Amino acid sequence: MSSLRASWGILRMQLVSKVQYRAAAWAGMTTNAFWGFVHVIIILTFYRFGQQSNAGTSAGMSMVQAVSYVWLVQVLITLLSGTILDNEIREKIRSGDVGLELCRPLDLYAHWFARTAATRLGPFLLNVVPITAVAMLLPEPYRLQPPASLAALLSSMVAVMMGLLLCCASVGMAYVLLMRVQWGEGPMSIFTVLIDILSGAYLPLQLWPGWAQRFLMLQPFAGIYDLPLRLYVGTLAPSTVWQVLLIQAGWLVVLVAVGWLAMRRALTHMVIQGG
Amino acid sequence: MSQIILDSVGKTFKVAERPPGLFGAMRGAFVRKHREVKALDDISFRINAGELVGYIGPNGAGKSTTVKIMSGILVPDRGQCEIMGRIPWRQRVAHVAQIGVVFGQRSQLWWDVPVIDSFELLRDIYRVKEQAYSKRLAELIDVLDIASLLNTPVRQLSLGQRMRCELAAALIHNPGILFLDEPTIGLDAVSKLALRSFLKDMNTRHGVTMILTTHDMADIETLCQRVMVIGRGRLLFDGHLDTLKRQYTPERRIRAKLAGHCGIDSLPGADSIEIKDNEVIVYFNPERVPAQEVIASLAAACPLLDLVVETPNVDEMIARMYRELSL
Repeated sequence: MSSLRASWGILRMQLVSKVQYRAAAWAGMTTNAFWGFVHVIIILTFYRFGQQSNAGTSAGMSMVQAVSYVWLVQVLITLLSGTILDNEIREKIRSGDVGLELCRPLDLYAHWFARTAATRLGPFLLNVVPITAVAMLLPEPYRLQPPASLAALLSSMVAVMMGLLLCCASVGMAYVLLMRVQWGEGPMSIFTVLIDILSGAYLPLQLWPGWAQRFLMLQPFAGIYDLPLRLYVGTLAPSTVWQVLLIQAGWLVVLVAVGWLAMRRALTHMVIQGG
Repeated sequence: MSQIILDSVGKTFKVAERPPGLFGAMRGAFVRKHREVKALDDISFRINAGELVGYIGPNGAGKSTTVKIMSGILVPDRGQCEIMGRIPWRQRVAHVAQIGVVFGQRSQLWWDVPVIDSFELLRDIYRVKEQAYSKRLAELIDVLDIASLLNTPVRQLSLGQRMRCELAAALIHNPGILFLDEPTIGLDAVSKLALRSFLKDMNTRHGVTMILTTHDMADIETLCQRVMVIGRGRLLFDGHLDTLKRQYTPERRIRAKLAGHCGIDSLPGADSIEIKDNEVIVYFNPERVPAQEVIASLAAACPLLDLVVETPNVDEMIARMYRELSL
């Protein structure tokens, strides 16, 4: 890809500018930890009082696994959230500065993709160690468990990287919606929340009703949180990593193609506000 | 061979309209009325390599729209546009690699990071060879006097400082064409002068073709030979600045200080005459009556202490032109 070097440059610059805001990073981390804790308590309540007969296991996912899942979502949220949009891109679309981006000899889609990945990597690298540490040090049954095995850890890490690409492609579609300044804001909000729900950010997809499982597994967003985390907690065996990667890659190709075409269309209809 | 060719270019925007107030907003949620605004009606011009053209017109005339079409940002509805043999919006990536753009009201530098980081990123984006980059950058740093700003984050620069960095950023990849959309807006007098002399130099020494939109007529007077005037999406004038001046400000005025009393209320050869306290102002048209005659008859009629002949300034001329064309 010809703009690879430029994308790397953009990534580097985003990292630097994100990491320098320490106060924001701390605030974000505290929110993550707090939200994760609340989430864990809800999950525990469900398991303890919801299905006594199943004795702590629901839909093939144990209580301990579900708690770990919730913490992992908090560890990964800065990396994989569908609802965190890049404010600078939003502002550029709103103010019409997107015009200046078009004055660069870059494919705008690739440019924003690289940027989105970069703005996520920075905070993630700051968060990952402290949040993981805090979550692992909590008492039972609140704590994040170590991975099911070394193979589980490695396969889930590979799948998370793929999940990041999938997430950037999904968020890319949200930006394309925003580019329709006259009507895009509402649909964009609905779309991003949908990404989070279907990617398993709020509830592990395994805990959804049984009849929905096949659909949930094969829809485009499962590969963002849910499938990689199943590999970590062990509800999917490490050997299934190839199938996970295949689902992720397939949807990645589709989302990128659709996003790229939709952006090209949006650009020809673009109205630049002001001056 | 013209470098920039526009042929009957038109662009219409749809503007959503809704009745004012809460009730109007609610109704607007169901029924949308659209009004079509012709930003550009039928614009045609040609510009040769190395020209420095001033592009003026009142607010909302279509200047920025034209610049955006030429820089590949907007797609026109009608007409043709070819720049250096390319259609800007079709071959956008190849096109923008050859042009530089400065928007006075927008920044193309990365806000949070030192200026030099932005330059280095631009080097990568435009794939400028390292050697060419360092040579070019050294030159720009020197001419624009920005050596001391390089390590400052852009958000901490003053407007004048930022604008100099913007210019450097727009020229790092050595473009053949530079579009400047109100580059002097908000600048102080010193910064304006520096910017103008830089642009002049880039144009004459490096042969960079420039199109400059501005509301500051001093920009036009010091920089441009050729002026294009746009109003309501149409090109109203395209020619030499002097021609424009002759057409819209044919008259001169003599402003003279009186040494004593002067009781005349008309003067042969003059269009009109005003006397206030100890000053007399005489309007005349040198194309009908030479200055010599008017001055002679004024000197014969009144005791004069001092005298200057003035041309109404370009601002007045443009204001009058906009009025006459009822823009």
